[in-house]
Amino acid sequence: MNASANDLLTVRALRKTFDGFQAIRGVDFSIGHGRVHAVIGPNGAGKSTLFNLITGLDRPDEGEVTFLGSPCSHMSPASLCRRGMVRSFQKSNTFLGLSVFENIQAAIVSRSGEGWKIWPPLGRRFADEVQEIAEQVGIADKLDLLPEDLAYGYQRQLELAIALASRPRLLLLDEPTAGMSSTDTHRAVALLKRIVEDLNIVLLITEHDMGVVFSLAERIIVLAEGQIIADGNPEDIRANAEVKRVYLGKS
Amino acid sequence: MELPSLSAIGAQAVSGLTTAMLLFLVASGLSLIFGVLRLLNFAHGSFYMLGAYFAWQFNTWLQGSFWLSVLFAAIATGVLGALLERVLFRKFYDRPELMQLLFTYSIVLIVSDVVKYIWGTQQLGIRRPEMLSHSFKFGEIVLPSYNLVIIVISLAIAVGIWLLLQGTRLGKMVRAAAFDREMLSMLGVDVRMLYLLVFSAGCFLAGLAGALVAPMSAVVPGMDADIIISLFIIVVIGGLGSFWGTFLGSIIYGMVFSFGILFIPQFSLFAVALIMVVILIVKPEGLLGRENTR
Amino acid sequence: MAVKTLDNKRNRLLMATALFLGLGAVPFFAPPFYVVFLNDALIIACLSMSLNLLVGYTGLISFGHAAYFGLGAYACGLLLKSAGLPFGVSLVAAGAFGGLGAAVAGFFCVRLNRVYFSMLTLAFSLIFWAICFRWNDLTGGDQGLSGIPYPNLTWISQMIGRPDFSSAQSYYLVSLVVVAICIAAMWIIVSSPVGLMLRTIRENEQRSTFIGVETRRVKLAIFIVAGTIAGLAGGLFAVFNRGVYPDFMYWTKSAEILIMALFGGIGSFWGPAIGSLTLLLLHQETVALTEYWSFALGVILLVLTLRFPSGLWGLFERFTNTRRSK
Repeated sequence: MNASANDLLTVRALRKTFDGFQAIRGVDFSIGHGRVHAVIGPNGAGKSTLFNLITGLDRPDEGEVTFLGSPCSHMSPASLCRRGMVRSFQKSNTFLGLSVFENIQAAIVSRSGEGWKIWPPLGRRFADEVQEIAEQVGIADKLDLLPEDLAYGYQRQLELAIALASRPRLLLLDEPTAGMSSTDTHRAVALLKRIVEDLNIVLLITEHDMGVVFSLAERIIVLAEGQIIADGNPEDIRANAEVKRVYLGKS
Repeated sequence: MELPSLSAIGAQAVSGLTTAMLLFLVASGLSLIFGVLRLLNFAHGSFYMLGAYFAWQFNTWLQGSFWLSVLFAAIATGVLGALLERVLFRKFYDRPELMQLLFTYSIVLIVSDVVKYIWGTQQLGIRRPEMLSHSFKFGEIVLPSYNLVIIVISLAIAVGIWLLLQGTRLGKMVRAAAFDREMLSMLGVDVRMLYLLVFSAGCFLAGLAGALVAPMSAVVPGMDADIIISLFIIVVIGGLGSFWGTFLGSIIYGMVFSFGILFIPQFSLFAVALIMVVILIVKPEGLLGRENTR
Repeated sequence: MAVKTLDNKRNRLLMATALFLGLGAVPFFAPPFYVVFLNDALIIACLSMSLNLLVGYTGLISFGHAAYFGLGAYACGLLLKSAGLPFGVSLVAAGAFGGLGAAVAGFFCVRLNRVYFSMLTLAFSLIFWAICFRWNDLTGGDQGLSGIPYPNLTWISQMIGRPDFSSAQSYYLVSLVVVAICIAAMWIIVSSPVGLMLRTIRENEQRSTFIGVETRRVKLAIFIVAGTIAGLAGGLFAVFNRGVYPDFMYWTKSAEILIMALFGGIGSFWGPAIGSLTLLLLHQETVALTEYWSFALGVILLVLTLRFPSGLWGLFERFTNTRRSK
């Protein structure tokens, strides 16, 4: 797999060790074209670590992550976000003391480069864009609530809204349907499909629910014990003997 | 600058070590309470001060039976700590840090005035026991025997605590609580009882140190505000929640302070504060700590 | 909705202006004793509001805020007394020194989280305190710096047509203007886009970095702003009381400011000001009756932390909200 200058994201020879435990041992892949990419693997395979390395939350011991043609292993999450790499988290991770409106507004303010301005007062500025994003994810009627007043499924949608407000080129979602009821999951999948099409965003997701993975992803990377054991389209992955062994053997 | 004589250096070393050991007794309690209960207790210095006053009181009642007074004072402080833990401290374990800090500070304020109300603002003093009021001489170096006794007692207690932490089931629980909360629930521990014990033990040690210090320095209001800063410096240097870290921190503090006074008197306060700053910048979890801090 | 917020904003501005004018009128009719008290209260209120920028808005629990108050106080006092600079220059320098101290300490402090941040702010305040406490030749050591010359403020009494005003009464007007400027600056900051960024850091710093906020830089910036305002307050306070003492910077002073802010309520803009005013009044009344002020304050604080964590302002809001919603 050769990295080309047109690739959105390239991960090369990535390694990370925690206290002697090799969480990631030599991972290579790149995201060039295609809309939805999924990383799957058994628990402890290193999916979350991989996400943390890509998004600048952790630093790799070795290897390099390249985003939009420039090496970014040493960039802060904040500057990656401004370049268009945005992520969500496995656990619901919003600004709990701020209203839903302010949650989204904050991300817009930051993205639009106004985060350092002290004049004029903010007030309800960007209300139109907040409204638009809230409508996209289906929480437009909940703008004045606090995140803790939202049902769990809506909290995850709020998180998606915050991510979208940063106008991502590449959006990494860590288990976007974890903990959701099946109704919520269906709604979330439909929502993600629509967003990918409407907004021209490339998605990289991790997911446990294989139903979600196979209905969303056009390319699947299988991670086991910190290494990629398979990488291909859903049909290939379904037929891959190694993948079956890992999944059946472990679970 | 004239170099200090050997005897001065020796005297300073012993006095530094004595300070270090007394501070260690108090700081180990503070550190243990932080490690297990996750509570940064500003009121810990107040228990130390209470120990000193209790010792004076028992000493008066018992007409100079010094060691018994020390023991009673330490026990009384431990019991008082246990009571306060049950009634008040317990309510704050799950509260935001700011609330915890302010709550423990409110105890500092209340205790400081209660002490003034009961014992007045004048200095109180206890005479050291007759048999310990002389000094040893090694060549030029003069070693007061009371200091040596304090050093020995404190070292014995340090080793005792360590053995307790390493060798017993109780110690295992304490370590589990400090480093691995999940393991704690797996061990099937009565957490409330554990917290009570740890808090009370910390207060006992603080009270003991306060009682032991009474014959060496005046018992006055304000002991609490001064020592709590020393304690914070020590646990930060050594590592919050780390037992041997606290020991190391105490030694460093005692020595720097003591020799600082010998060489550049104006500098010692500044020096220990500077060490605290440098440690927090370079290795915020402390010399021997392992907490994630960033 | 939009119209309502606009009205709201105009109302608040009107109320703040009325408050300012009302306070400005005080020396024209109230006895000098009250002017002296109110002068200190204004300065301390401004100080605890500056701390609230950190604690309430950004979630940074600084345990060494008195250090910057003290730095400003010493800077202003020394420049007036030893260097003989004019009052205005010395006051600006007080702010600059407060801000500079905060920049040095803040550069390191903002890298740490939670308890460790508090500890490092405490440690820096101890260093600044130790320097001022021990540098006898410059600061007067534990005796403090006394005999700071009072500025000549006759131009003020002449300008307002009250040549009978004492220098304290004129000084009060200076304090009021400086404090009002500081409060206006703080109000602009918290209601600006930066203010929202501060609150995202308070709520969830990690998440804040993932919406693109350079949290360390933002934290450092607000730390410096808070330090500058604290320094200005220190300068004002030192000159009015004609002395600076190392106690101004000791950690117990920092704790006191924090208590004032919390007592009034760190969840609101004006809460800390109300808290400091109330506590200063209580202090004055209690001290007249008994020497056990610490006890009283301790009990107040205990009840506050046990029952009313949102402070006086929180109580007030709860009261008005329940009435309005009926």
